[in-house]
Amino acid sequence: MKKIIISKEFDPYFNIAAENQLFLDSDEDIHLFLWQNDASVIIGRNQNIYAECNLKYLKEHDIKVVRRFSGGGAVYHDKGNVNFTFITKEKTANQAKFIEIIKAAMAKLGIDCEFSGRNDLLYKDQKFSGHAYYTDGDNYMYHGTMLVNEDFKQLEKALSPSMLKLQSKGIKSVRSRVVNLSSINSEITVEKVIQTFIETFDCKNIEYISKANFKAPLEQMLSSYDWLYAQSPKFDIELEKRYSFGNVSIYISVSDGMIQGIKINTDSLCLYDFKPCEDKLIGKRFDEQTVWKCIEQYIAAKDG
Amino acid sequence: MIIKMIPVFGNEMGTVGKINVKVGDKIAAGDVVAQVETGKGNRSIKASSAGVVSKILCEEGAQIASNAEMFEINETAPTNEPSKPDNIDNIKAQKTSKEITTDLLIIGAGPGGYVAAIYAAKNGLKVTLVEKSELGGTCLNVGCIPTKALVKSSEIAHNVCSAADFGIQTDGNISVNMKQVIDRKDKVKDRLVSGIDFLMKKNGINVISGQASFVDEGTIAVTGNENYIIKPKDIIVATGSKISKIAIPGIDLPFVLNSTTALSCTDLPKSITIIGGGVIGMEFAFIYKNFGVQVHVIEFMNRLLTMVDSDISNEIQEIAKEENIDIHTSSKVVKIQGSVDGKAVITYEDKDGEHLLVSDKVLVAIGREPNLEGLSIENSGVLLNNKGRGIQVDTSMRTNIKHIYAIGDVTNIIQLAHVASHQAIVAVDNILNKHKEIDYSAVPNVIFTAPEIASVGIGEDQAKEKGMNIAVSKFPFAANGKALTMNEPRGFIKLVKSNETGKIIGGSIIGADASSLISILTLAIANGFTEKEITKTIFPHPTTSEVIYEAALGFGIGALHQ
Repeated sequence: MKKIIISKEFDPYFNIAAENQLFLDSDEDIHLFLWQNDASVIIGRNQNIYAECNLKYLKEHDIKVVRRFSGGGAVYHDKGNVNFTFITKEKTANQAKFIEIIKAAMAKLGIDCEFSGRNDLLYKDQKFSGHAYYTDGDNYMYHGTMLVNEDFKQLEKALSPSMLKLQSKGIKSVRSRVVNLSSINSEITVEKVIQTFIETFDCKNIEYISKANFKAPLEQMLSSYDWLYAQSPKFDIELEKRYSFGNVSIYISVSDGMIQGIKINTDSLCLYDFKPCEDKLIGKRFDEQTVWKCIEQYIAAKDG
Repeated sequence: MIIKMIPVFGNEMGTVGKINVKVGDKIAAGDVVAQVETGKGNRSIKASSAGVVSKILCEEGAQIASNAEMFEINETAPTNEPSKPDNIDNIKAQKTSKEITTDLLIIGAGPGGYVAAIYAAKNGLKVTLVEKSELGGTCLNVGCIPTKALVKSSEIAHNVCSAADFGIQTDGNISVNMKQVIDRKDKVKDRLVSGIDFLMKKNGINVISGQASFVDEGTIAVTGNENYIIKPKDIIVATGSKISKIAIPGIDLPFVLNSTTALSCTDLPKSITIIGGGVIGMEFAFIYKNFGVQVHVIEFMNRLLTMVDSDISNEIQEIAKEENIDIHTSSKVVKIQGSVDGKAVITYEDKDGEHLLVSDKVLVAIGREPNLEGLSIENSGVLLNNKGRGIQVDTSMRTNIKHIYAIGDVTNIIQLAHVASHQAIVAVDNILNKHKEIDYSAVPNVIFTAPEIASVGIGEDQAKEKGMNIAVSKFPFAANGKALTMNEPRGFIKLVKSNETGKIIGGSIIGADASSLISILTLAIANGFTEKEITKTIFPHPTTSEVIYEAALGFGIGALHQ
C-alpha cells in the first residue's frame, strides 16, 4: 500500500541514508518521502567535492557536505527547502506522473510552472526545483528539492568553489537562476508546501521516522572521508602560493582521493629541488593544507 | 569477459562517473565497477562474473554509448599490469588550446549547418564549421537519405514481386540480400558525405572535428583531437535533433531497434512490431512490408500520421491494411518482453484491454527531439523555448543573444532538412545585415510510404479548426491515365482555397509521384496563385501532374475527367 514517510530529523546524513534504505526496500507501490535538511551542500554521485563547493567556507559556517546517490549537480539545502523522493521499482516508475503530481501540488499553491529539459521546474524561467534520479537493480527513486525560503546568500557562498584552477572529470554543476516560492507568493511556507504535497499525493497512510525508530545503516559511510572525497572522479589541480622567496606552483593529479602525480615548480632564484617533497607526497591522501605544510617544512629545514 | 555499458534508450550518450576499480583488482560478480550518468540519472555498472580487471576501456568524465566496452575482466590468470598515474606533462598538454578567430562559427554540419557555411563563404565571410560526428548530420547519415535508399530497394522488391501483373515472368523465388541493401545505402551516403567534404574545401571553410561547447556568450571551446578556443563575431547553432526517449519496460532488450540501428541492421526479420505510426514508423512499415516482412504498427493516437489531414491518414491506413500491415491505433505499449525462444513479446493496451503481439524484432519510432548535448548552452545565456525543448529564436533565426542564431531541428519549430537549409540562408542574410524573415506558409512535407504522401501549406483540418472560410477540391488518381498505366490507382489530390482571398493556401497528395508533384503546389502557394493561374497553365499529358489541373478546375466548373 502506498505511503508517505516524513523524516523528523534535519541531519542530512541521516536523511540521505534513510532515503537509500527506503529505496532498497522499495516495492511496486509508489511511496513519497518528505524531508528537510539543516544547512548543507548535497553533491551528485559523480561530482568532485573540490570543484563544487568552498570547503573552507562550509567548515567555518558549519555547513555539512553530502554526496548523494543520484546523478546531477550540487545543490544547497537549508530549512527553507522541502525535499521529496518518489520511491518505487524501475518498472513501475513513471517520471511524467511524478512531475504531474508536483505540478498539481504547485497549482494548488497558485504556482504555474514549466518543466525544463534539465529536469528542473521553472517559474518564469527561474528554477525553484531541481530533480535527479537513481536506479540500482530494479529499485528506482526520483527526488528533488523545492526552494521555499532558502538563504540565497549562503547558497552563493557555499557553492562557489575556492579552488578555481581545477580540471576535473565527472559531472559538473550547471548554474541556474533560482527563485524562492515565498518570493512569488509570500503566503507560501515550508509547512504549506509539505501539507500540499500530502494532500496532492492523496494518501492517509503517513509514517514519521527519526533516528530513534528507523535504522539507516549507511549514515556512517555517508560522512566518511572515503565516500565524500575519495569518490570524487579523477582530477588535476593547480595550486599556487606566494612566499617571500617567490611563487610556488604545484600541479597535482588526484585519483581516488590520493595524489597520483605531483610536480612542484617555483620561480625563485634560489635553486630548490622539490623532488624530495614530491616523493613524500605521492600516494598520500590529497589535502591542500598537507601539501603546503610539507613544502614549508622542507624549506624551513633547508634554510635552517 | 567484457563489461559493457548498459543500453540506454535512444542511444543517448552517458557520462562515465566514478570508476571504482583499477587494473589488477579482483572483483566478484555483482560488484559495482563504475557509475554512469545519463540526464540527471545515475546508474551503477556491475560485474557479471568474478575475475581480475585486466583493462579499463573507459575514462572518468568521458562520454559513452550504449553497449560500449568498459572493462575487460580476466576470469582466470591475474595480470600484473600496473595502473598508470597521469603523467604531469600530459596534464599540462591537455590544457593548451589553439585560439582561432573567425567571422562566423557554425556548430553542426547537417543540412542546416553546412548550407549556412557554403552560403556564408560565398558571401565573403570567414567560416569555421564544427562537427562532432559526420558531415551531413542526421539527414545524410541516419535520416532522409539512407531511408530513401532503403525505400528504393523495397520498391524494387515490390516491383519484382508484382512483375507478373505487368506480363513479366520471373523464375523461382526472389530473395532479399539485406547486407547488399545496407551496403548500397552506405555507398550512397558515403558519396554524398564526401561531396560535402569537397564543397567545404572548395569554399575555403575551416572544418573542425570535435565537440563544441559554450564557455560564455562569445567564446566556444572545441574538444577533439585538437582543442580550440574560438571567439567568433557570429555563431549559428545547428546541432539538430536526437532520438526521443521513452520509458517502456524492456526497451533495452537486444531485439529492440531504433531508426538509427535499423538502418544498419543486416539481418531481415520475419516479423517486426513498429512502435509509433508517424513518419519514421510508417516509412519503415512499408519498407519492411515490401521486403516480405510481417509488420505490426502500434500507434498511441487515434490515427496514423497525425501531421497530415485525417482523410489522408484514413487512406494510408486502408492501403496499409490491404497490404496486410497490421495496424493498431489508440493503443499504448505497456511493455516489451523476450520469450524463451528469443522472440519479442509486446504488451499493448487499447479500449478492450491488454493484448500480446509476438515478433522477431521491435522498432521504436516515436520521434526526435532537439539535441543540446554537450553544448553547455546555459553558459551562453541563450533562452530555450517555453517547454525547455529547443532554442528559442525569432523570425530572423536570432536567439535572445544578438550574435547567436539557431536553425534546424534544435529550434524545434519544424523538423525537416529543407526547412533547416532555408533557415540557414535567412540566418546568414541577417548576419550580413540583409534583414530577412522566415516564412513558414508554404513548407512542403513528404512521406515516403507506398504510395507517397506530400502536403504543403495549410491543411483542411487545420483550416477548419481555425474557423477559416475555405473551399476544398479533391480529385482521385483513379481518374488519371498515367497512374493507371503505373498500376497505381490509389489516392487523391486535395487543394484548399481561401474564400476570402481566392488564393490556394494548402494542398495534400497521396498517390503516385506525390513527392515530385508537391513542388508544383509549393510554387503556386508560395507565389499566391489562385486556381486561375493553375487552370490557364498547360499540364503535359499523360502525366500524374494533370491531377493538379483537374483539382483546380474542381473549384469552378468541375474536373473534366470525373
